[in-house]
Amino acid sequence: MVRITFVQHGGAEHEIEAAPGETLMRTALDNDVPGIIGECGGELACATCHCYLDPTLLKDIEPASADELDMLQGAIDATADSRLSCQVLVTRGFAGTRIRLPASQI
Amino acid sequence: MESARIPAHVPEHLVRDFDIFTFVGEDEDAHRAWHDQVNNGPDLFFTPHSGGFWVINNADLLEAALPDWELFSSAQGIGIPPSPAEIPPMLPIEADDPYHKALRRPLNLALSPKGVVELAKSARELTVGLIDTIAPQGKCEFVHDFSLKMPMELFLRIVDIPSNDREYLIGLANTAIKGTVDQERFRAMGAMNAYLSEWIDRRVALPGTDLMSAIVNMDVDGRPLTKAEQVGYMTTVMLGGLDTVGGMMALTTRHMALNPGHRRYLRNHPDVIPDAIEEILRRYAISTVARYVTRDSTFGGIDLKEGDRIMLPTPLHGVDETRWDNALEVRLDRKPRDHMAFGKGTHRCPGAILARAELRIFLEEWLRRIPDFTIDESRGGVKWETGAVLGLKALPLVWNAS
Ligand code: HEM
Ligand code: FES
Repeated sequence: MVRITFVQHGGAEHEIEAAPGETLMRTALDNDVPGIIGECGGELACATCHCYLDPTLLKDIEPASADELDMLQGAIDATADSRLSCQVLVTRGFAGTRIRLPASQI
Repeated sequence: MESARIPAHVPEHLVRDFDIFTFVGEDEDAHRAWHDQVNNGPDLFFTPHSGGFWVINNADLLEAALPDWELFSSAQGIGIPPSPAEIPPMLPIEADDPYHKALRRPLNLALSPKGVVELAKSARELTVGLIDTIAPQGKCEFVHDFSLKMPMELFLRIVDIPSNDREYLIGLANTAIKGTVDQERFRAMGAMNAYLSEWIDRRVALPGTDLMSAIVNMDVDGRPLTKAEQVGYMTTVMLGGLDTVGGMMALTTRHMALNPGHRRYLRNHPDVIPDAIEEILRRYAISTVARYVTRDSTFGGIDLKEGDRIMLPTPLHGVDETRWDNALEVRLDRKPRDHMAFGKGTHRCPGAILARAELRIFLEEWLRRIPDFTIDESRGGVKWETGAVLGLKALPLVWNAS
């Protein structure tokens, strides 16, 4: 397990234990972290699992697929740090990272 | 019962006389009927009606079947009974992955959170306009005056078609989905296809920024869509957001008419409306879809054969007592997770974000203008609609307009 922190737009933090190999979206939902909806259940069809990753971590992990980049266009307030959390697998490298959430998913 | 239609592998004790079109009468509460059925019947049964179908009758089995597209295919039709061959398949709903996923892309983007921000503005404008006309009258027939009109107007805006043809299309759509005679349903579907076909030709010749232009000009597997694909796709997008949203609006309004405590609470706490909508979607889910069994298999302990058809009724999920405690009770703070009102898996409703926005905007604006209202029994009261999409045929309301 690795400890990671979800940071709400308003600043509230949820530090939780994440299992490597699990998606960030599932990890957030299973730990009742608010701010991620995951409407489509990870089918890459809804863009309601939007989050911002630390730019250094982002460089180290598997980059977003063309389909994810496509769907990210449907997210609100997307930036260069944006990912769809149902497509991001937790790795050991996530230890201590802070994942920021947008003001609103919808 | 037409026992000739019962295949040899179906055990006799699992056969029920179930016809989805006559399952409940128009004066009966359809969800209470599903409540009786799901909490008393076998988890899976077989009906000879509509050409012979298995019917899932348990929340866990429904949740397992919906995402299992490899065992339960949509490509051979999701209609009950299946549409005849001359009707083009409804896309993307009557297709399997990976083709289906490729088809979904323009729709996913158009109905994404960002897309819905814009659509919600239109939805609010239309909603306010209609309610402002209704409110001073002190009464209305909600289905005719609001829930049939609003989703059709919104569809016409999304695809940039003028609203002159609204009444014609509402009539066709109603028969295509709710007609009780198969031939009438298929004829209405044919007329709708012909209507959309003309608009599709215009959007191919001169694409705009509307959803129809995005869909009909898309590429799938590196080729443009065929005409049949374009027509099948636009038909689904049109029908997908009409009866469903209209039905949910009517059932929500009936619930509020019958529960003064709930409507007052939501009027004073509009921030709770999204949670209330989630709970209402659980308790009053409306859609039933069908699938085709792709291989001999055992499901829920029962042997299915390749080629069997099976119904997946989402209305039973929210009223299964093994899944929800006091399932019939609407608790505004229940915050149900994983209700099945929008399905599950690869076919899960792409219109869910828009539908929730339409329902939220509707409740906000209605309760602000018409906070207290009751069902007008003197005008016949509530009439239910049964079939593949539940809803109401009539919901006469009265209130004090002064
Ligand atoms: C409260 C309103 C709604 C409900 C209850 C609802 C329900 C559903 C359900 C249960 C499915 C899954 C069908 C299956 O698994 O075969 C579905 C699919 C679909 N819905 Fe909705 N829907 C609603 C609103 C909308 C809206 C507003 C639109 C469009 C603007 C829409 C368009 C579609 C389409 C195109 C599909 C097919 C998706 C696919 O096969 O991938 N729906 N809907
Ligand atoms: S959960 Fe829908 S795109 Fe990630």
